[in-house]
Amino acid sequence: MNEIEFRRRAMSNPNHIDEKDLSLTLAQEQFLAESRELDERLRCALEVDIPKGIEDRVLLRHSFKTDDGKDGQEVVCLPSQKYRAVQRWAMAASFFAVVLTSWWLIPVNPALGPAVLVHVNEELHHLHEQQPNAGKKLEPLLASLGGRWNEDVLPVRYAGACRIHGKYGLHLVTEGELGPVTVLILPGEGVAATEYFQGSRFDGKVVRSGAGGMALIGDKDEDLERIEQRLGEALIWQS
Amino acid sequence: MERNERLFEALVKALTPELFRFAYSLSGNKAIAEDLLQETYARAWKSIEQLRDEQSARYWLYTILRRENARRFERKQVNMVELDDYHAVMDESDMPDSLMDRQRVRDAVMSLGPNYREPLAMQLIGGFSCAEIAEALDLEAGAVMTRLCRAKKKVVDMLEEKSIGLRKKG
Repeated sequence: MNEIEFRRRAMSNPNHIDEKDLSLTLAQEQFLAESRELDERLRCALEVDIPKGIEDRVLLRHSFKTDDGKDGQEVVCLPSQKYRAVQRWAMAASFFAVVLTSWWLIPVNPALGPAVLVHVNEELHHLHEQQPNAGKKLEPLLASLGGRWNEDVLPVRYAGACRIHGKYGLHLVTEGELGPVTVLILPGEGVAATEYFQGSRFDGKVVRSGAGGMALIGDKDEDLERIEQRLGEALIWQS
Repeated sequence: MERNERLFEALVKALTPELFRFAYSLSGNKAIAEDLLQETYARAWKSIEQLRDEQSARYWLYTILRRENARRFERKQVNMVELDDYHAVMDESDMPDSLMDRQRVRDAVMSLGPNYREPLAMQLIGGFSCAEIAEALDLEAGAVMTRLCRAKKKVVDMLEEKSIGLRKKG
């Protein structure tokens, strides 16, 4: 390897040169050391700070995506005129098919209630957590799902992202009349109708919210309807 | 499905910091870098079934991110590097020497053209070899070496110029 080629290799990729295999001059050794030092300096310079919670935002947005990759929104294709009549007949036929088959098909996510109860019981420690700036932490997480939170309407004392029922969702704790109330925002979970469930310590309900579901879990006798009403004002989904 | 979800989550948790830094080195803007990252993962998820070899996931994600960045240029006319939040922290008077040095070096790297900045970031952030970078950029390995040499030389020259300028000011 001549001097020019050595310098080219040493400058471009100094960490892939094994000096043991080469008999380097003192000047070449020095050049190699300087090139490695430069690489390290450059590498450090590119180590920008990572925004807090970025992994959670990626996973939340991933949960929000439907299977075909659209952001929780259906794509409606307008049919051309000549197919509309045929389509009406097809729709009528499919309607009867759906009615018939739904006798056997169970509604969307029948196990959501028990699954969220299990989650709350596994993470009981969040109930009494007093996270400083929980509302601030919630803002970017919710924004990744297309939502906003009005903390003046309903303050939160804990906000975090975690895996719930196999998907990433938001875990919030707010204050009810009888104690802490857990709110789980479940992006991408289909909720056909409001579902009520009961556990040994907590009661809860799952409702539709935005393009997914939302679970409210509180102590027995907690007025969850009141919390749901305030949630309706605090949580704003951008269309 | 469960395997894919687990793999996806593992990739996000392991690779997000370096992919974010790579995205930032291409865009020079943290908000754009995060958008690029989100788009990259969204595309990756669509093709995750094809991912047989988990070891190759890093290279695969870097490739997707590069393409997403290229699409950004196709979608609208944007500046080559958008340095808005980048210069927001440029007040050097309050910085310790080590931070000031990092800032100056980063400045110099970010002012390189994409032809130089891209292979440099792939090498320094991703740790890829010249052969791997060459494959990703559809170049010969020799051309990648030349670009890396020139990129580093330009950075050194810029730093020297700046240091001479500062000495003259002082």
